[in-house]
Amino acid sequence: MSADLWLIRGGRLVDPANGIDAVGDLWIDGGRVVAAPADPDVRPARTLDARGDVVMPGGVDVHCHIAGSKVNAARLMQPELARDAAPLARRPGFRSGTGAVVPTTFTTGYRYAGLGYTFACDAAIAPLGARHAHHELADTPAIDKAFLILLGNDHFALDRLRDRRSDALRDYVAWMLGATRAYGVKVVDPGGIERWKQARGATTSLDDAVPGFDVTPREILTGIARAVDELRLPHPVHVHGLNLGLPGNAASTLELMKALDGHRAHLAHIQFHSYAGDPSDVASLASGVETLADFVNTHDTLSLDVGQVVFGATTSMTADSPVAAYLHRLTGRKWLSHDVELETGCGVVPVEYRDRNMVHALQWAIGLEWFLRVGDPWKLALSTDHPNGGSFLAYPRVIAWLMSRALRQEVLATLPERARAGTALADLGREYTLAEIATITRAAPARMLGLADRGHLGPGAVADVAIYRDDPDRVRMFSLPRWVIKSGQILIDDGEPRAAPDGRTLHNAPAFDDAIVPEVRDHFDRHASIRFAHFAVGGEEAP
Amino acid sequence: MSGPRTLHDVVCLACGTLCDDLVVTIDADRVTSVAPPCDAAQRWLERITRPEDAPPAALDGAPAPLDAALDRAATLLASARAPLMTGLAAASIETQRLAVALADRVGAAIDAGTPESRARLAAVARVGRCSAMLGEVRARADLVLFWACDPAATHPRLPDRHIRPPGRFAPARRQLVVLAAAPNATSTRADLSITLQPEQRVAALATLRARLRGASIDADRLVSTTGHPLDTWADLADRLLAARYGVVFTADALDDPAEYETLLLLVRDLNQRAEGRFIHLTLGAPGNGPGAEAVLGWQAGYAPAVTLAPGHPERLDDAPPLDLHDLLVDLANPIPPHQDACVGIPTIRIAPDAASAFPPPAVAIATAALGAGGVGTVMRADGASLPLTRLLPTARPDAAFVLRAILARLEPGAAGPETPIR
Repeated sequence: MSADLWLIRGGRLVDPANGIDAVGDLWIDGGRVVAAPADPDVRPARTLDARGDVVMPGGVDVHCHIAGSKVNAARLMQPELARDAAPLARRPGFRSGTGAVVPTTFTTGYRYAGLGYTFACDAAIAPLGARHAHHELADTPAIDKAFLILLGNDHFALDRLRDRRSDALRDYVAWMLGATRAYGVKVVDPGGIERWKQARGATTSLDDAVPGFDVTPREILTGIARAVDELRLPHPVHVHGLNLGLPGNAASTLELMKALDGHRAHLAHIQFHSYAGDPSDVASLASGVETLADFVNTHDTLSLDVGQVVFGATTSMTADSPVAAYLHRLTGRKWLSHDVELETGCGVVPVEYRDRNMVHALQWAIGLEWFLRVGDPWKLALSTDHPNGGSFLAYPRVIAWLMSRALRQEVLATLPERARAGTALADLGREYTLAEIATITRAAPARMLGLADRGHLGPGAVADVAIYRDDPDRVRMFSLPRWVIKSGQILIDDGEPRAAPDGRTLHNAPAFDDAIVPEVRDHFDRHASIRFAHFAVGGEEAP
Repeated sequence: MSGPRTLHDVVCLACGTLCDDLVVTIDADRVTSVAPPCDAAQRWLERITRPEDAPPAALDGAPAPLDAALDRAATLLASARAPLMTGLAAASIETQRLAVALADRVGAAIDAGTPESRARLAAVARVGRCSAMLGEVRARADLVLFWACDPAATHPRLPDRHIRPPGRFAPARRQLVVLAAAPNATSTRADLSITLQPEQRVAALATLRARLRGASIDADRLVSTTGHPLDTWADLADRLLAARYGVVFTADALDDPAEYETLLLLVRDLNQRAEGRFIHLTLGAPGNGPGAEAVLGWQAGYAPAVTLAPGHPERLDDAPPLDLHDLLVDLANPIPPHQDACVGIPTIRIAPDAASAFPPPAVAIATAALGAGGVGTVMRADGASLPLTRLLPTARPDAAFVLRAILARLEPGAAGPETPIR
């Protein structure tokens, strides 16, 4: 008998990837889910009695910001945030830490696991910040991790796009993934950050050529999407579009969806890109979800995460520097901006979403509209764009809103009349089932990321399992799992944290034509402040 | 015996520029040439590649086996009521991560601060900061202002590496402005040089901010508060306003929180223009202070000083007084002339010259010199992370190995497997 052979007995298995929602047993061995032993006399080394409980795969967060220079700058700029949440005290096997909105690294790992999540993808790392990000992720235990690198304003990439050298771009993307030990590729405000760095205003249209590069956001977006598709990366290009947060941006978001023209794409924090209204008048903001959701419902190459807003104090952090500058001007709050040479930008501004604020109230409703208007939950992942819309710790609250129209109506009734008039949320009666919740928090994000052995409970899957009491109070249910198992090891045992082993940081390193390397080296020699030899992250630096 | 070896792209920790392009030739374990030539780099390389002739470990000044020193260090740490850890800027990021882990384990305070970093981080926490990586200076800057600093003397290769080379979006000739207490090596090449005494600097910054915002200025008092008439400040304000991508560099001498905050606000104000950007950069200090700030930020949430004595991180606004502590763990060499700074407090010193302190520390463990035998990652003041190259073989342990071994003694299994001496 294997000492690692465990039985999770009699729980309600909610495993949408395998079409299962029924009471049954789950066997795990050696860190993987296994089929039930054929020999009825085989006894497990440990049995977890899950009768009356809900058994799901470990949660997968497809889009969050938990590591790297941007997140760390937010920590250091806002010591007051660390004081706002109860600190975690050190105890044997666990490190101390602070923070909920922008937690320290160890606390981030513990708190994700504490919700039943076992995987998180940081969606925005500058390639030059990859080494730093790996250091932070190595100090983020309990969960497995991955990150996406930012290429939508990368000079080398933009030059190849201008020159119509799609093969060179594809090789560069592949080289870059291997050099940074990254998982996938993200495009943020394509060309817009570069334009802002040049003090030439904001990019408002997909056809605004980037000064000095003679390439348009449309060409950047489609060119990188094509490269990602050609490389057959497990995750499609991850897109943060134009005009984030501005009234009327739904029109450019629809244009962007159409521009992708059959390429796979994941649209990040779509809530922030779904507003009707006049760009020059914040008060005109209204929901623009319906048309966009209709498009997504009829185009199977697109997936999205929502970026749900939750009321309370949080932090806006983005590579989209012009957005952070705009937020600073709008709110007058302190502002951190950091231009990353050759690649991208970074902006951090404290924000507080208030339910009495018409815009914030609409943002809350618009996010929920997305969840309720996309018919196929496999196209959609739950996110708060942590911490931009709110902390990932709010996920149980979002789940509760999705499962109960009455809970949504309770909140809606407290919002300003003008906000209620700007959204059809009140008319959307859909209530998510547990299987649909498991889809948008596990199965779908795992599939979006191309993680074939996660997000489900079939034989061969990584034994990442979250077991919750079937509690009608869904906030309580999803905040306090009974057991959380990561790769076959118990992290939460009957509600108590027991262990927090190091997780892995996954990456992809597709093959490429070596001829691209001298070109990149020359680019570094002519433009970079660090030597080419110091760019790539070694395997020993990111185990 | 092997002949000379030439190593390329060596990272230099002699000054805050952290040049990573040195070509160093080593013959018989001695540095024989450094290119491009840099006196600061040459001196630093000579210092860190001196023969390792001191004992590897010592207890109260008496040579001791490494294991005995590690045991004693663990014993002292386990019994200390209020340990303090310092010297993190002399360590790699890998060592710093373990240092904070050790501090967390024993409930120590950590002080990685300098007067400059305390002032800067306090100002950033109040108003934020607009900054960039050095490559952006090269690519875009059309105006570079050196505020109370003299990089030509203190950061000798900064101009040649990051300011003078042609930039993709920069004009062929950049405008250089220097404000300093007296003419200096940098100001000799400046387009505009303004003498400014330390006590006049906040007033000068406030004047520039007022000018930018169109606020009224008491011109009659300007000479007495800033040393210069309105015309001087109006001219400078016009230059700043005309910059498409302006950069202001400051140095370690900037340690007044009010001055720092006013400077960051001036830069922020300049970013309100539609037609121009402006950023602030620090020249940086020798070593790896930025790495220490970053590690403290991600592991503890606060920098540059924090106490873990309550069982969780709490921010320390000021340097923790030595007399509140009963044990010091110092990761830096003793301050010349080898006088231990903490007479009266038992000290565990884990540093290349640990055994040369006087009076001798309770525990001295000599480690490989960072950048010579000691490797790992360091962080530049602009956030760039750089891996170090090993120049010489070493018989000494890396500081990270030492901390890992102490942690393992305090909490078996907690520090992970011990890696061999690298």
